[in-house]
Amino acid sequence: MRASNILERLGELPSLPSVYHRAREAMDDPHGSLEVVARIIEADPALTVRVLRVANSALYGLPARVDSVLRALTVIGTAETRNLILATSIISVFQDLPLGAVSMRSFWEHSIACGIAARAIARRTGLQETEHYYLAGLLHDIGRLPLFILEPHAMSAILLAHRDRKGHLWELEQPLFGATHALIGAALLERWDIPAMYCSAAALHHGAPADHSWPAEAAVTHIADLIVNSLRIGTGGTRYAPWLNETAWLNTGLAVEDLPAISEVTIFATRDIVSAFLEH
Amino acid sequence: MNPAMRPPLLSPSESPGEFSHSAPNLYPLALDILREAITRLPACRTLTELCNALDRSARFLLPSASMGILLRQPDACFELIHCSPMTAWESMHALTEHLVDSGCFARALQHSHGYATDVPDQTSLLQRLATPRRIDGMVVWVERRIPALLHQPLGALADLAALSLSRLHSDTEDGQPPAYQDLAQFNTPLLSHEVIIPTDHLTGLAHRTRFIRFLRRAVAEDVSPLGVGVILLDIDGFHRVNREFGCETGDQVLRDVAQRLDGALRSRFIQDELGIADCDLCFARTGADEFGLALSHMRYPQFLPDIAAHLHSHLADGFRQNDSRLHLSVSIGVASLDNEAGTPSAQALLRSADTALKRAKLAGRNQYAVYESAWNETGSVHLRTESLLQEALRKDQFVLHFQPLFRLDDQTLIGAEVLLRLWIGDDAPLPPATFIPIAESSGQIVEIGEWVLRRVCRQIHVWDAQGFPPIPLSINVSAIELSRADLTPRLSHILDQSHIPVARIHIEITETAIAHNEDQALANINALRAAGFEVWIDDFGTGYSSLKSIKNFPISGLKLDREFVKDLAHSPAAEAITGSILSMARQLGYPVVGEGIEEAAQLQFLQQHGCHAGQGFHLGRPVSPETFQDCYFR
Repeated sequence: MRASNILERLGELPSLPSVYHRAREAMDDPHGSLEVVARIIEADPALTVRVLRVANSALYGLPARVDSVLRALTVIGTAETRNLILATSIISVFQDLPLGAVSMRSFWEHSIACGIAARAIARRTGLQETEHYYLAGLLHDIGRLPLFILEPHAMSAILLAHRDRKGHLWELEQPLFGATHALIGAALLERWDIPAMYCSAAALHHGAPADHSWPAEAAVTHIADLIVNSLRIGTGGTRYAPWLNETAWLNTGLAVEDLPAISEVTIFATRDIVSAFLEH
Repeated sequence: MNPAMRPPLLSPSESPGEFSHSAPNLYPLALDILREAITRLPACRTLTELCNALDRSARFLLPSASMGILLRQPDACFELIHCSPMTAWESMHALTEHLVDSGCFARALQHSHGYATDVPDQTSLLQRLATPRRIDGMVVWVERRIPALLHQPLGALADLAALSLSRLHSDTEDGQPPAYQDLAQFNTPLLSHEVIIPTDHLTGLAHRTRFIRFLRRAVAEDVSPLGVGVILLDIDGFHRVNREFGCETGDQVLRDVAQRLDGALRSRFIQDELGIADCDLCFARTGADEFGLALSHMRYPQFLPDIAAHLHSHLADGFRQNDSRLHLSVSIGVASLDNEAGTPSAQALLRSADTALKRAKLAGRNQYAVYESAWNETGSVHLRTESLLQEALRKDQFVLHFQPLFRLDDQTLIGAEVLLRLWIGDDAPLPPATFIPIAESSGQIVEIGEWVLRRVCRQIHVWDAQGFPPIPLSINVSAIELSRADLTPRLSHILDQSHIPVARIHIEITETAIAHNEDQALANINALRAAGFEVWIDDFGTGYSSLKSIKNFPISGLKLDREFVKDLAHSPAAEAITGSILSMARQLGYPVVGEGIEEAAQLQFLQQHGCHAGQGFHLGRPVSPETFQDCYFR
């Protein structure tokens, strides 16, 4: 059984909603302002509700409740607004699609937890612009969705094989689909014109080629994925935690003593953020 | 702390020659790993988990070694069942063959471990997987060099794994812990039976037997009286998936449901909410389309219903089938020991969960119900009734009664409604309200409906043979039958077999039955009409629809509900409503039968307002066929 090359079929997936493109143009426009962006978001009631819920969730830990989109955007800042819109848009693209052996809820639970863990690692190790790491973690497994959606039966079969100890899930994907979810995810993000650092984090989170060094976001995502799999928060299909890549570990500069605090933050924040993103 | 997050102390780059250099760190690490393995290995519920846990623990000591696990098969051969990394499977297989041939394997079996260095640049360490009673298998580690000081910790790991393996093994056999019956055996372990961990081949989940064994043990071990619970999930109408999409799709859906819920149940959030550990949970396929979750040592059993709701949320997005979405309706029954009356037992708990599951189905499906001991009686009546109905069909305990139907202007007999009674013992017969809902929920209604029609056909022959007027007889068709596509062919087939013309049978359906599955109901009404049946709306006025919506259905007429008739001549409001229903029905061209006429005044009102026919105690009670012919045919 060999499934057709998934990379050629990404066009069968839904594209990002137009509100995302409009908001992004407004933010790229030197004359644009957060007011304009807020108005664009408010034109989409579902997105508005979600943006407000996420802004008020443990993700940002704002001191007081915000109840207008503009207020929310002002408090979290321009850079973070960009990430927030991207994250909510991507989650809503897949919101209503049924998967097979994994529920959408489990999938995003794992992804969101990975984002939180990645951000916690970045903060702990003093990296700049830690919000980027959140998004890198959130999107790392996005390549699984095309697999679940376009090849449900093959995916279900390799999940059973994975469960029966026949290998790591990503190792089983390669021969069947001609690519792993890491590569497929990167291709999908490129297709959507998402900044390159997120594509490379997705592409390399299970390991960089031997002659390739680990970019910081990929190394952080790798460790975050491992932590979240060990903590067992949600699942992207994987049942056993991947092996730790030592180069990635050294690259992050983490110490073993940092892990309890990172785990704690991840467990604490994830549940709240999952319901902010996913509940209708 | 999870050791998986800890960077391996021995980096692969470190050459074995420099090993002594890191020796001071090794013992603390080895102890940590063993400590972790002591908790992790016994928690494994399947052979797969056990192999992985062993592999994982050993990897901290030998990060780049290959590991193989061989288990003793029924034919006494050892078969490779696990290899890590997967890519080394072929070479591991070849190596173990070689070890067997060279006699190294046999020596290791005898002395509990063995060591082979005959291949250049490669060392193999063999450790027996054995308990004092038996030998189950062998673990093989292969590395360029394996330092002697690792032998002991690796051996200890293998022993721990063997103990867990034998526990899994005893689970699957008699559930008894091994006893040392004969001290002599202590030194010569038995080479005994194969290891079977019963799993369901389709879904990979545990089997019902293992589920029940888990539950029994949980109830027996339960120290707090509350900590054990059961959740049963049943896919409503799953046979339809098999019928409409084929069995292959049906199997795929079952696999997806199993994997999805199993994945959700592994989540730390669920386990934290109930206050349980991984080993306190057994998720199994307990029936063809039924799954069971048994839980032990719950610290917070009060959150069990939340878990049921949570599992529903994981199924809510539906399942992908051939580019379309398949929504499954899943009913869930929840029971825990704290709601249990009487002595706790696994059987009783399972029965309670099953009662709750049936109640969830009765309440409309795709929801959960939590068992309460107050139901005890109704619950058992329900179960009793269900098997009673089966018996009644077999023993012919159902009887038919007939209630006459008269034209109102001249009181001519124009038909009869067939009513079903269940006669058990010497008491009065049970009215349909007591058993029809149960027959509907259990699906027995279809069989009962066919029985009724055959019996009615027989009665028509009996009456025709005596030369009585050929009146039509009305039978009631339930919501369940009305939502099945094969309704008309089934009825027509019985009529054909009995040689009864279709005009002799009228069909009565309620509005509620139509609303149950409106599209299928409309298709059925059309088909029934096309086949020549008259179709009447029973109990009209109390259900969902109005005359407006009814006019879309090609029906023959309406039977006005007794609720309206009851208050006629007493309540002006009832008279106004009835009057307007009658006049609208007249305008739409529907004849109306008044039901439940108990007084002359009601009869008079209906007569005056153009109701063309009626039935009720005032005109004639439902009676046996013998009484019917004596009273109304003469």
